[in-house]
Amino acid sequence: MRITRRGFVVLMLLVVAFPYAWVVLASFKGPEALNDPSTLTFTPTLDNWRGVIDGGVLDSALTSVIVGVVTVAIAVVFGTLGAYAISRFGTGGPGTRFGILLSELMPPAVLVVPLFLVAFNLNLRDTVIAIIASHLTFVLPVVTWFMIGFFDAVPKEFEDQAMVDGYGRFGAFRRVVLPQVLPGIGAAAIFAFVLSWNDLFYALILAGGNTATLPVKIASYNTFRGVELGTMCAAILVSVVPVLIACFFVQRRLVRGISGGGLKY
Amino acid sequence: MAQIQLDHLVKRYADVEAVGGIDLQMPDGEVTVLVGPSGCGKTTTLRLVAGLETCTSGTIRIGDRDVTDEEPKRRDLAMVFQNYALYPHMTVRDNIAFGLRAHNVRGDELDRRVRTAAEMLSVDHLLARKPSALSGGQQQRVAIGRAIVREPAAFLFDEPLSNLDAKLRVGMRTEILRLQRELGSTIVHVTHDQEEAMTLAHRVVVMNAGVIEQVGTPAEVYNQPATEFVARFIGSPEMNVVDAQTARDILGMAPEIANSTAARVGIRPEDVQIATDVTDGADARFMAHVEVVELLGANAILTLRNRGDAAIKALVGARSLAAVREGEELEFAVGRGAVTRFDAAGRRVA
Amino acid sequence: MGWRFMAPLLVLLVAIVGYPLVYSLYLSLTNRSIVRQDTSFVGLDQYQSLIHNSDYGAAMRNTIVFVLFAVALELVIGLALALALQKQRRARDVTRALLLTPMFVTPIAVGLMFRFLLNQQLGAIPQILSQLGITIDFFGPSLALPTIIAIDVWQWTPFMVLLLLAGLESLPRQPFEAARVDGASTWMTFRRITLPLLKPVIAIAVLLRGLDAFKVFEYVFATTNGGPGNATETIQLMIYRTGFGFFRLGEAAAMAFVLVAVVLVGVTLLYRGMMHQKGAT
Repeated sequence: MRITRRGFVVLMLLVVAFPYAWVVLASFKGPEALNDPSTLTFTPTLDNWRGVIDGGVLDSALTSVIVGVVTVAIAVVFGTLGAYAISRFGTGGPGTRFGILLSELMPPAVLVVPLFLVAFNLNLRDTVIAIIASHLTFVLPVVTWFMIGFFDAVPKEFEDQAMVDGYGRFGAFRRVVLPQVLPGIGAAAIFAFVLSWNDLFYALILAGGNTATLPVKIASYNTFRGVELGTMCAAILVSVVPVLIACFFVQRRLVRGISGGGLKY
Repeated sequence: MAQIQLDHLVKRYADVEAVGGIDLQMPDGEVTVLVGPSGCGKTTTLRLVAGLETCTSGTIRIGDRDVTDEEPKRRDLAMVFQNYALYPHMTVRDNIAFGLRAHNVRGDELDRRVRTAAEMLSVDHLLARKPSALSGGQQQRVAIGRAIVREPAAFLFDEPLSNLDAKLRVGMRTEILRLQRELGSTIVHVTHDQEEAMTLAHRVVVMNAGVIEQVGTPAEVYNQPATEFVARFIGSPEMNVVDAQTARDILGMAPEIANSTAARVGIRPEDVQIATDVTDGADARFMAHVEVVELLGANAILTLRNRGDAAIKALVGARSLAAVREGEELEFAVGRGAVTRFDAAGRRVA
Repeated sequence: MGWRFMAPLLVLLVAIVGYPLVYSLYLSLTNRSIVRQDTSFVGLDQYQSLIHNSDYGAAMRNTIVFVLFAVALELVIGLALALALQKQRRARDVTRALLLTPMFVTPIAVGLMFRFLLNQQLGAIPQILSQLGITIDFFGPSLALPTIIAIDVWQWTPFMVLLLLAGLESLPRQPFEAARVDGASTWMTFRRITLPLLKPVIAIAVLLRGLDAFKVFEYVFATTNGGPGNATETIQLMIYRTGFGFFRLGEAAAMAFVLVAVVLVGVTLLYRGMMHQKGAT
């Protein structure tokens, strides 16, 4: 039984790892090697990676970083405050905990058209503001939802104690509750950043020529020209590797966080 | 230190009246204990005094200030919670200093006061540690030290001893008493443990269902309970209360005692003795079947049953056990003047 | 008191979600199009035309088939994997971290990765299969949708694993210990204890993943673009093309709102289920 289980896990590991391995190899292959998948050996080349630097991939990665950081920063500030209210005061009634998620589940298709039109009318088409606004529509609820769970886990007595000791409600929140949910904020922020980093649909529609994000750039390799395949793989790695690193760190906390906080509603 | 006065204090949640009109004076320099079963309103009352809840109506005065509408931070009170609420991300020193910093105490004075409080509670060697590195007893001391250092008008204790094991609890009770005598503090202490109330209090306030049943010294609530509820709540094992009919028929109580003005009568277990030990005349005398003997050490609790009726508990000295066998019948008696009488509404009558 | 903390969040949400929603609703009741000069209110015409739109019907069918098969596969494989991971002792963290990674990769990259992995001329997998004498055209008319489903399964099974694993690890130990003492077999324990206890988690996971799967776009965009024919045409792809290919904004908004209706139904079920479970525990 144990062998079947181990074998199954190993099989899954292979299934997961295989595409990565292929992409990594392809990013070092020249056009001839790419055109002929039957050869196992090839001479590695750095041309594709040079293409990454020259071809605007890093620029789009930078745009993605900016969008991600700004989105997460706004979401953390607004969401943490709101989550505190929902957790402590039950603001908005019992349905709010759940209603918050509603926004995240909205299909992007329904929100993108008005956002597009507004951006068009306000002449924001070549800025990242529209993209940030669209990302907030799914990042805000996720961050808020996570933070509600984390706040629930902090006993109310700490604030009571701080208020009797001499602070008002906000002072108590800042000095006593916030320090205790910092790890939670960290995990939520990383998760939210990844969501923003990965979005294609909104960025595809709302980004101007100079404000393409990384996924949009990767999508632009969507041709059948073999010469682009290697560069595309390199660009994919630029997108994937930071996320894998972040995932390693966040993994354990995610499992614990979901079973400890998120699954309780 | 100051006295605390509550006038017609009411707290209503939706359609539930958690505190239903309390008038209470808690004198300066004394320990007032609010005691009662779960849900009686004692913790709610304490939280109203602290300002953590707002009153539906009524007033709260601390000293000569009306604080009814004041926020907790302005009431100059210190509170110790059941779970100590030590800030886990701060050291012991920072925990103790927290309230002082909130009131803008700084520098040398801050250090001096923190050190004094820590020494008083014997935690001065723990100042650099975090709460997770402390034992339960040490955490409790830090929590008290944090309250003392503020030199507030009064202390509020919300069942602070409930999380300690039995031995530690008894030890801490003595500590609290010692500190109170030394500092002359005004303390309002909430507990569900009547023994704790009796040992700590200058004044016991027995509460039930949001109202006060009786206010008095420990001796008063024990010997002159105002109601049947107080009589049964205070004292362990619980007072035996039976209706007058049973008292006459089964316990052989004289009719003048268990007569029509008294619907029910109460007898404390320590007043139910083996008949041969009662020498000065008895108010009741009866045969009973000894069901269970629980040896406590110096005393023993006997559960007595007679003709399948409700059990009567007797508290006898261990020395008297020679004559007692589980399962056998024996004669018991109630000493003279040991009967408490209650009317149909539960009030004590003479 | 709470409103003071909540207000900023609320204002922001109303601005970026509330307003667009309402505006979209309005759009769906017009014939707004960027190529037209005039826009007029047409009531429910857009919705009515959808009923007669055979392409839309095909897209809806494809999407529903996709959701059903993808989520079912992800549930079964995910459950098996979660159970296996829970029992694992060696190299626990590394294995879990690696196995969870696919869900964090940007979907367009996943789509493109598989497009070239499965490509007849350039891909490694057809190459390996041909060594075994098997020829499969992964993006041909009959296999295109299943291939897309397989891509979704590769990326999103880890999501199911995450939720199911968290659920498994938060189950109480006692029932399982009692079952061991009672002598229950592995299968019996699974069927009669694990599965019933896990039901609420499974329900949430299935609904969350199902609602998300309705929005499938990137994989199709990266590979078949709806083809061959409209074998892999999905709703979100169609909305994209209608709204930003043909710029028929009113029509696109109507399509989007039908999707919103589906999501709302699903969400209501989810909410009811969660409340019911909360009351039961």
